[in-house]
Amino acid sequence: MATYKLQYFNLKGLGEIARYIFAVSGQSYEDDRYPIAIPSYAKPEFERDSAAGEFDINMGRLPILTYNGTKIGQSKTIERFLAKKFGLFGSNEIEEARIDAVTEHVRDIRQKFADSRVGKTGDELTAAKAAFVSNDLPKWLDKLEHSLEKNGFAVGSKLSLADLYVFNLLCDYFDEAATINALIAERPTLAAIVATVEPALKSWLETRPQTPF
Amino acid sequence: MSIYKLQYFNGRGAAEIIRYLFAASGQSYEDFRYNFSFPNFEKPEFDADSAAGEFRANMDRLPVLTYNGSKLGQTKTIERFLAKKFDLFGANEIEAAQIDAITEHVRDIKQKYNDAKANKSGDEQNAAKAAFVSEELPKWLDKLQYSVGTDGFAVGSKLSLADLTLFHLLRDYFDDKDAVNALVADRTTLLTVVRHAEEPLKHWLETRPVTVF
Repeated sequence: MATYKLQYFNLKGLGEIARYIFAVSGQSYEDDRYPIAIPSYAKPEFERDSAAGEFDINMGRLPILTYNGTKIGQSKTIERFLAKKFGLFGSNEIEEARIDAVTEHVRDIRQKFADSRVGKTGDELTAAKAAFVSNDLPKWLDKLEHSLEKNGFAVGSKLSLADLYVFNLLCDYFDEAATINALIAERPTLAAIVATVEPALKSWLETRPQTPF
Repeated sequence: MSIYKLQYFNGRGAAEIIRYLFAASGQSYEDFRYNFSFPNFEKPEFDADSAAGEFRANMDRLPVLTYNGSKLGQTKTIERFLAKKFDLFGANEIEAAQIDAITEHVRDIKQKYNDAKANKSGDEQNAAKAAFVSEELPKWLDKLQYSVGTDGFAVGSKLSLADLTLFHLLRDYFDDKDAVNALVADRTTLLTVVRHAEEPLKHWLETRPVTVF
């Protein structure tokens, strides 16, 4: 029987979509979390293990998936690996490519958000985030909506990694829930995907550790 | 008529590793390039086609690959799709994950470079680029080496997308070729991979259009 261990910090961050995949697939795994203090980012156990070479295949960083004793690095690589194993990557090569592209679209939107915040702190940062959500995000969500299929799933006719990505962006990423919910309500394709994913993730969302982000 | 059509601008940019894949595998394709003016980047033909919804699958952007009538977006998705089709994605699921992770490592390094030079121009930007290459890049290349195989190929015993991606980073990405070549010369594992990857790319590198980016 295959064994899975996911090592990450005790945060959602870059580990959360892998945890979504385990949750919707009903696959058991060891959810190994390194302590990290927020806002200082103090993480001595991680520093110790990284210095010892534990994460060299991931350039010294987390997350790492250990699958049957073999270490695999990079959050997106891990997600694609698990999605393929658990039937969340489409029914053929074209569906797989379309799902893959949706994950990259969401990545691009997150990167645009990151670009808008870079070098800013305090009030300037708060303002930049709000400006992105009200001025830029609506246009990106329109474009995302137009790249997706219309039957409740992002691609094809069953739940995939693409649906998990869309859900994560819209429901588990931005601070301004009320504003985002209003944007979703105006976009039926996105709303349908959120409605598809919610029941599949319900139990995980209710029972997962509560962390700052 | 080719079953593969790649649409991008008349530049290397985000499409070049895709073109490497076609070159290394010997697969023919239509290398469609939209013109643009320099330095103002006016691109009326692209703007017209984008406004007409040609690139909806890619949130109205390039590159787009058309394969047997299906439009696929996102540079990295296209790279993974073609690598799988051309047997450049490893011999098994673990090698595939290792290749995938190396492409993500390279993406991270390129993102760090972009962050270093973002929101700067002129002399300030040139200084930031030079500082990255002399101070940051060596450390990243040292960490990167741990993921790279020592048999002459990045992963396993044959050429893959990982070799082509490493070649792009180390020979075809930074402006200061001499400085980066010196860093590679000091790192045997990377140097060997670069030398092997150059072989199947030689003809393309010699005959490809010469463009501003």
